[in-house]
Amino acid sequence: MTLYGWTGRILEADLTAGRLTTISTENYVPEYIGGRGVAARLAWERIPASIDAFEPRNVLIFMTGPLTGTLAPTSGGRMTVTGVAPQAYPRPHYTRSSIGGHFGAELKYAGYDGIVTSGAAAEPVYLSVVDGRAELLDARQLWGLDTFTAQRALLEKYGRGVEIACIGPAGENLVRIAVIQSGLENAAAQGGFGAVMGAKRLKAIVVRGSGAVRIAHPSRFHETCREVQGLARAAREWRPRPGTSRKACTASCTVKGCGDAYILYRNVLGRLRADPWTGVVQCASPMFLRLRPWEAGFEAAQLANAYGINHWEIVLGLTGAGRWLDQCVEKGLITEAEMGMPLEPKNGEFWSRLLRKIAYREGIGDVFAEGLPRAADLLSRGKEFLPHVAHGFETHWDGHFFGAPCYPYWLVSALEWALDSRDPLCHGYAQEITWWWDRFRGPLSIENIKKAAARVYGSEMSVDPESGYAYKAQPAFWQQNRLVVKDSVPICDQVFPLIFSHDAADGYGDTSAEAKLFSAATGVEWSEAELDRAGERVFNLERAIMIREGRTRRDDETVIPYFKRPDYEGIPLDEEKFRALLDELYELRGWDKATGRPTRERLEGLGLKDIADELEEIGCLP
Amino acid sequence: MAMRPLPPARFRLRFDADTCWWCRCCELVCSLTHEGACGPSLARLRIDLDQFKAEVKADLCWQCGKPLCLYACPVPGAMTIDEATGARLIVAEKCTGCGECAKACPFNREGGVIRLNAARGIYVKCDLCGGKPACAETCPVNAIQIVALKGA
Repeated sequence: MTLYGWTGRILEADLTAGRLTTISTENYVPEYIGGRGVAARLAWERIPASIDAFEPRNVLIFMTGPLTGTLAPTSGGRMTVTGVAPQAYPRPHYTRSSIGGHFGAELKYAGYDGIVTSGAAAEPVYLSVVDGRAELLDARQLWGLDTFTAQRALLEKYGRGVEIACIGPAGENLVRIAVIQSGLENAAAQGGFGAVMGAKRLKAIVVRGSGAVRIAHPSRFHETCREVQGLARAAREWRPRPGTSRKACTASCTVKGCGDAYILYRNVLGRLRADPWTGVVQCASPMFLRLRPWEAGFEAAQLANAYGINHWEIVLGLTGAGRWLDQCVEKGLITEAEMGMPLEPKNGEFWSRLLRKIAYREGIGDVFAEGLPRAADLLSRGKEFLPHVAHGFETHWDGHFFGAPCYPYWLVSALEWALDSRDPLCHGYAQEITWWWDRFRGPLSIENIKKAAARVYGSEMSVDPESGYAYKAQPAFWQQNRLVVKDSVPICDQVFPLIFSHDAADGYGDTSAEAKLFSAATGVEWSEAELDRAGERVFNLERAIMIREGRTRRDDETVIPYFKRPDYEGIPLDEEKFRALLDELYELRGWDKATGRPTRERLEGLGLKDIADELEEIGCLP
Repeated sequence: MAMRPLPPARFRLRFDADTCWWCRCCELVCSLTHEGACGPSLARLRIDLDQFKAEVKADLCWQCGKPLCLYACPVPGAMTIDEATGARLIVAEKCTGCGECAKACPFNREGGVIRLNAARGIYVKCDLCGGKPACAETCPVNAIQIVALKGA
């Protein structure tokens, strides 16, 4: 059977044995879509319950989806990386991180939908995948190099057109906030999967291919891409920033809708390095430019990329919007002696030096290398300032550190946070309603927002500013399933779903854009509801992985103390009402309210009978 | 090889490296519309992006006034001129895949302008999509534009 969208093969690399084999993608699609979905199924089959992130038995999965490498707007080079994450807290658990850029596309052109790595090599290796030919090669010469230098060395060796995912010193030194870096400013960052590569002594993956992604209905797909691009742009009109050069953060992005998209700076002279830096800041990392002087902040951002350290942990944890270290310094909880340098958290150079300590686990850097929640435990200080919400991850669209979204919209964020294994991408619900009001071509009228929301979530109450705790589980349920779809097809989680539009008289965008692109590319004619159903299937499969790891409702409720802190307008979470909301969400999900475990009935309804059987065997059904 | 006079091209594509925003949609839409698949190696133009130097180059067909590709083609009727646009075309049905055109092209640095389509066993090149190039239409920042040639 000719497969469209998917290439049909997944590479499996056993690093202990140095053995390379192939898995057929057709075993998993279309049921698990691709990306995050297929990765979850592979993880269920391969990762033993309750192992540590750094054990050779941990499996690190790189998975593209059917739209990766195609013209689908924003799908481009996107893929998802999953495995047991060292950053997860209080103990490592299975989670995911997505990455844009160009690597995922090139992997498909090289003939593979994904790469599954297991075991650990005795000496540093890198994996080379060139036009269907995979090899494990000696990486002792590359070990110790930063991510920029390592990539340049491999580019030199393989020539232009090769794409690379690699780790820097942070990954090698098992820093729990180490990223997998690709290009200048793309990373699979959340989770600390760079350190899993480090534990496996896998320095880099190099891909190059002259193949292409077959499209089931080329002219229909082209037309759909055109329509979706138009709609997405109508939702997010571009306002160029004077004096900056902006680039697409991933191949095939024609939307240009991000406020802080990939901003390229050339020849910025920092403080520590003699040569000027050419590099990019995007998403969270423009916050580095608030450090003083900004050039030193820019250098710190580039050093974080070079060492392979997660920006989020720095500018939404230690400083920036997170302000943990700033507050500890203000309150005198941290001394100059233990920091090993003057306490100047507004200074860019200070951060460049601290990043180095973290990457090489020198002095206090060894403590911060454990990730902020563990660092606060080790220091027994500053817990009251932690911007850490739950599961090991810092604030993300929860209304407490960002000035957005406002109450009651962050209730949906809280529900999404509760059931997730990391910070959920809450943008899909909350950002659309509130944050964009005063930007671009906003605001949309609240009447139109209500009408569109009623259509998508089933009731105007879901977005009514006066609705309080009413009708919040439904949008959480919808968004959770849709986020799986976005991470699986895959497509940008900032831009999609297109719920609202400035161009339509009724304010409604088109939430079926993902399904239209998926169907035209793969030839699998799924409606929006069917694709969301597959999203729900994956969400339950991931829940099964969590349940097998020991997850309970109590772990879901660890978000409560954080949300009980007053938000930026002074409004705290009402614990009792929130527990009732959680009950509602479990009910929508068909999960047992006492334990948070999926019921056999719901699992079987989603085509997951074998998962229900296995859970029953280990006594994990409700 | 006779350099016989040919009708000039009326349009060609122009690329602006500073404006280019690195999404590579031009390659993807070109391969999609011509080959029904997405992949830069099937595209009839080539984007050469080096992020580390913040540098991008494009190899595009110049639709030359004196097209060395066409002059070099040894198969009668295998290369022709599009009446509407003046684009220099390879006729798929007649191309034998000898590659003389690709060798003759002075802009074919790394085979991005005239390239072998291995699956079909023929060489392919930009045909200006009959006057409405998909690459120029898709480019979100107008870094690729179709320009009318003066005096044509």
